Amino acid sequence: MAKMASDIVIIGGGIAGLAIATELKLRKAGSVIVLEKDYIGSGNSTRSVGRTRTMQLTESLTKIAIKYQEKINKIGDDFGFNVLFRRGGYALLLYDDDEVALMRKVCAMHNRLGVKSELLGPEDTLRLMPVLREGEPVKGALFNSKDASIHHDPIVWAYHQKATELGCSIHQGCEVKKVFVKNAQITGVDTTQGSIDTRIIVNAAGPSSSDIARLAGITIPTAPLRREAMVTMPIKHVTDCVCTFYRPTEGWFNQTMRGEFIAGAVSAEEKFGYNRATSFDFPIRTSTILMRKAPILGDLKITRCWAGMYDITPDHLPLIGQSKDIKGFYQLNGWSARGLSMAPYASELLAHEIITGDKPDLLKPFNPDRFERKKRVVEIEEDYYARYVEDDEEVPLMSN
Amino acid sequence: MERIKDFPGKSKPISITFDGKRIEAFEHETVGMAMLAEGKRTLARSIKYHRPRGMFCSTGTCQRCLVEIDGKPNRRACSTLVKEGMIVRSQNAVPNAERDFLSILDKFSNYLPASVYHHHFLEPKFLRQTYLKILKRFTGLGRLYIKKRTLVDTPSLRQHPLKKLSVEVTIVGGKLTGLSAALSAADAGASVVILDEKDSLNKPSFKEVYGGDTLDDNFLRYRSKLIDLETQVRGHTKIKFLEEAFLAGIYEGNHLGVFLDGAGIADLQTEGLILATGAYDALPIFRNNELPGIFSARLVNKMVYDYGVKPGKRALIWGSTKLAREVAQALNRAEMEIAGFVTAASVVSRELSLMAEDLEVEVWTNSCIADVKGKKMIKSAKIQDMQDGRYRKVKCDTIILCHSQPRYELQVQAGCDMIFDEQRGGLVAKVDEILRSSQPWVCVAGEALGSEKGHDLCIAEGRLAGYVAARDIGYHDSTPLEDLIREVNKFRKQSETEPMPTRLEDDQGYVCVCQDVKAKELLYEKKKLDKEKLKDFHAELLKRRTGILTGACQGKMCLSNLLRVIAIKEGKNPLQYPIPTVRPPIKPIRIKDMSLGEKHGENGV
Repeated sequence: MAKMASDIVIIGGGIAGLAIATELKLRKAGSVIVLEKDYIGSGNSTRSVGRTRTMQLTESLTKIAIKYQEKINKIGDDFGFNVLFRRGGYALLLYDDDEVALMRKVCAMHNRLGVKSELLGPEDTLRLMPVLREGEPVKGALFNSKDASIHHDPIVWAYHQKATELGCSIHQGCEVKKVFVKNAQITGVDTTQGSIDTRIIVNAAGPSSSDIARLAGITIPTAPLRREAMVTMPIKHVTDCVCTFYRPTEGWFNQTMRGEFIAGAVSAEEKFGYNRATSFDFPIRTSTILMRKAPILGDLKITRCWAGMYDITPDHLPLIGQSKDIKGFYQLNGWSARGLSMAPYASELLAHEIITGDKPDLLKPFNPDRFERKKRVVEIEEDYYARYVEDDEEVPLMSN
Repeated sequence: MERIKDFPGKSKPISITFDGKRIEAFEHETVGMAMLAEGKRTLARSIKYHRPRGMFCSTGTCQRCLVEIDGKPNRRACSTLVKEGMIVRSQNAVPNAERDFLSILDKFSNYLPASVYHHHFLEPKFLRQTYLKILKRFTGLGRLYIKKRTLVDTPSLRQHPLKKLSVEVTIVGGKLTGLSAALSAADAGASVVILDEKDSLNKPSFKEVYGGDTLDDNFLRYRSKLIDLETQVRGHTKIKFLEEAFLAGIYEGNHLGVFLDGAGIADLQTEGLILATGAYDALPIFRNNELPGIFSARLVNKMVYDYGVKPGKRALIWGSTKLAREVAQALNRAEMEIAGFVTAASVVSRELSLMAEDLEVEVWTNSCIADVKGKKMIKSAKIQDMQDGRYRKVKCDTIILCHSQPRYELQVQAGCDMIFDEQRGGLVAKVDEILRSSQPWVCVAGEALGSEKGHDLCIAEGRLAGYVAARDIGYHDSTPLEDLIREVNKFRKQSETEPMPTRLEDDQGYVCVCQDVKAKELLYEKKKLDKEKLKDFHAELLKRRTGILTGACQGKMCLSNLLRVIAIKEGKNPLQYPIPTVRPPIKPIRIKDMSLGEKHGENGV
């Protein structure tokens, strides 16, 4: 590849990279190049388990969640791809009274913001999720009937096709070697296929985004963390609802459109680092929890286990926006498990920011430089999944 | 189909029910065998087009015989023993597998592309959720019965501790290759564990008694060698022979996940690993290649010699190698008519020509089966001469396939560099002269390395692999390595491969039997990918687009065929694109067996 120039270079050909490329092109932002290390979606977009919820546990997330779910649901209209957006409902399963009391507060917050969550009692929960019968007695569930499961692959394909149609140039098998910065301004990027002059780079590399930032000479507070999943042989549908156990290490399960059950439970000992191997502990851990919570599923056969990476930030909120230190270096990463559902809408907002220079209100909580302003670490008690902590190793584990 | 009258291995008669009908069976028979003896070849319906499904491999590879047994979904009929009063039901059929109204879908199979959901069912918008509600009714195989009980006490859990084991050399497979590898490594001084997934049914084979004079020397020599090796292994202090241990996969950090006799789970760490896992059945692509009544040679051997069940009345054998000759012997002993041998090879071995002369049947060389006719029962097969393109119709009610492929799953999981070699039956690890793969701690030997091999070659390869594995961790034997290599080369000729033609002129053959993906659908996807400007036609994308490789067989029956289709269509080595990860476990395992605590109670194990 000869020396090239482009108005905007996007690093990462997953859901975030393709979505921001599409949104920029739709707003006629000039020439756009997408660089993908392997092939489209090969990173972690296509390893997702495809669940989306508006029932977030903090206000800032809930506000944007309402919007991003609408956006995902519209992919069918906008691109003609059926992403199997199935509103089967989403339940956070609660197993003690403290959790129920906590969720009552969250439920009130949701209702205030217009998310129609409800707190179910044990009987209603079992009616909705009959597979929990015979298991450990459930105390209740925070439930939203509008939350959905989705299929990750068509979302990636849809954006890929759209981006290609709009004239983005997508380079697969192209790894970034260097990021050139001059006078705190992005000037270009060097890749395995040649170098490109540009004044704007969007770092949408997901779990590898901290490596990319390092190439530009800055550090961003994201770290890759492995999450594993397993899938069983398909059976006829018994439950539509997507379930997550509220206790962070107990995991989640749901039945897919194809009738397979997918499930996962995290280990408290999981270390940060890029690792997509399947551990032997994982299926044992998950099966043991499922046998306790939903023993009816014990007769299903596990056919596959796989692993994907999350990119985690200390407060489990994404980094979206321009870096303070380098002009033209935009972050679109740190999804902390929400990439698939959040990236399309966040990209729309970021595209607006890149073009106009105005930061939309909804993106303000996700400013990449927010950690520097915080002198003391604040803990948000209501939320196991999103709180500020000092040390990376102490980040609470989350399930989806 | 019927039971063989003079079969020696009769046991106590019992009865079971299948879809409400009473079936007479014998103790020690599997559900699948009892059904075949009763003449019922169709046990289930396929996931999408509701085509009939039945026994094909009997080794747990194809996963086509899934039925509901006593209310539990997706049980393998080929590996579940009958019990008095057992209630067996066919799955995914309305009302039952014999007469399924939904088989009408098969008529439209040409109009339903594999990726139907990705662009369809979007309009009108207000019906989208309804579409999904209707579509989901068609998915899934078995049924999960949930009793109308509510809250019960926390189930008591029995804890199986996870055993942590560590060993110097692990050998997977306990037949000729594995046993001789074990002896060779142990003699050098290494401590060895053999993991052999024996047929857990504990079913004696009556091959010697029933086969009698009809068996050739080859088999008798094999038996005596196997018994001799087993005796030596059992007497060896350095070898631990775990006969009912199943290696579920090679996990992170090269941990081997082992299931010990169904009772416990072990996390095994090893310094050296020898894969002597042998081969399993492969499925050539032709029209109707997945109908019940098309059996693998391995299944037919079991039917005749282990269970005394006649596979049919008149069989056509596709194959010319050792497996084909063995199966012909078995059919002859069971007094079944042989319609002929078909093979894509241009010359056949002397043994086969003699056998064909003896049995007075024809051998069609340079030929392949192009189509199979018949609905409930196979009526005939259409054979095509691949040179002049002419067709020939052969009457038969049973077709026996004798194609093999190496068991590649553990080789991929261990991280070995793979090659695609038709001479060796498909996807297989690349090894050097001393059978070591690109992963220095892994050796591959015997039929796991491809082809059907003679006994001497298996033993020679086993000994070489055992020697190398022991040497690599610091144990030295006095035998020079050169001698072992020379031994392997001496018997190199003892290997045969049944060629497996992939003709795509008629694209109606099934590539993936679990998810009902025809060759046609793969080619349709290729066109669509070209249109969407996703040019790379590789296995991972096709997997995501069509659902191939994600079915119950986990890709065992379809990965090699998928790679063949890619090779033909792209005119390139299919492995230049990444192959999809072969994910553990290598066989489906129940959640209950994978968990460390089991529930006590009525349905507890």
